[in-house]
Amino acid sequence: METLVNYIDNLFRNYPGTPEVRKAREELLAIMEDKYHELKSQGKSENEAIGVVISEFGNMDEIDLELGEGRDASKENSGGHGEVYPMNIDQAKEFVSWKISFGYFIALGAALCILSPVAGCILDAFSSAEILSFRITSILGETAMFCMVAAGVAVFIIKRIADDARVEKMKGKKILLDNAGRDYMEREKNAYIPKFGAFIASGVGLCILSVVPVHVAEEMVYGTQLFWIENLSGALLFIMVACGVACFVMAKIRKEAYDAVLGLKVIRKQKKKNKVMEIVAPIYWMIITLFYFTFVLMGDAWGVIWFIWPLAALFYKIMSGVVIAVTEGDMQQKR
Amino acid sequence: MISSDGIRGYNDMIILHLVLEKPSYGYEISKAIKERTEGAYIIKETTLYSAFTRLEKNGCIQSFYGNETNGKRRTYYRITETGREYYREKCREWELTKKVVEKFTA
Repeated sequence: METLVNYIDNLFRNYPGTPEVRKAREELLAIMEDKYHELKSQGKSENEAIGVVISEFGNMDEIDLELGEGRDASKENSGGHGEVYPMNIDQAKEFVSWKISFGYFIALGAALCILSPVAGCILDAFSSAEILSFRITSILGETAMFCMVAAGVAVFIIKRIADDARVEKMKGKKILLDNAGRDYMEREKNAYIPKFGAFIASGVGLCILSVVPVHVAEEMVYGTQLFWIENLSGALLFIMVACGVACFVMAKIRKEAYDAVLGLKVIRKQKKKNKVMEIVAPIYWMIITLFYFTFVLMGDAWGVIWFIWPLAALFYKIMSGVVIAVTEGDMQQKR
Repeated sequence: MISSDGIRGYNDMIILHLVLEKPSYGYEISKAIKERTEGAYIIKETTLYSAFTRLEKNGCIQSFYGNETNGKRRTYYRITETGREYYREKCREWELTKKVVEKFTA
């Protein structure tokens, strides 16, 4: 029963509170409730009855026509018409705990990728201190880096696929929670908000402060032969950035899980792939990778060249945005 | 099952026919449509409600609150004189439509 109330409230979320709208909501709900009770008295289960009522509900466009223009423009937020995925409290708890663990793994994957040069930095410190030969440390460092990136990417891919399978049925829909679940999740979310703020602040703080050790080390090393300090400060930079990013990712995914479960956002559909980008993307990343290897193997720029990745990613975003805007705008004109 | 597109123009007539017999409320009308058509046409809630508002706006029906014993107040609809006239007109229209469409049935 309360599922029906939530369903109707969800559909009417973006309508103004005019008497006409209130009346429409009441009348529609009354018909739905009558139908629901009748189905129940015929021996249908709760879920069956709700399923029938919702499937026979119809389309809000018809109501829009009658209500005229007094309608909020933010139609997209309502997640289409009646596209909901009903959930009870246990399913919601399971969904959130899956998302939290998913967040941990994605944070781990990101951290592994960011931390990948750390072993190299530490080994370089040994070679700078003339404990190990440069040849050995650079080979070991590179091996460690590739292993960590590979591990990080593997975590990404495995968890992404698992998550995708998990939310498959909810894609493009909004979760519709029963009242008990809603109360519970609202409490959970409110309890998490301060922590969320703290995590985001620490994430930003760590990323900003990450450059400090490098500068301090530079000052310390100036005029001395203690280059190993500089190497270690480099390691510290990656560790701080990795921690910062991990905080960010974890907190963001967890908060989004609460929002999703409370029906505040639509579960994201896989974006339609753009034909042009499908061809361009692999070539683009191959060129970047080749570029990267060339620089790494040439040796000198080792400490700086990792920066190509965030830059490349940024440029990729801009490029795909432009390509999609151009090609898809074109398609719409043709239609 | 009939498509809601095919019958769109005659929802008003169906509803008017039912409230012509006796004043009625939302679910009772929806149920009557389903039963009389033996499940061939199930009217959607939104279709039904938008028809009610449209018909009331045009003065074809009047809404009033029924006095229910079990506490729940229902909105009933009764037909008006305009509604009767409109209903008869729709019936004539249907006869014509039927004739036209029949010319093209196999």
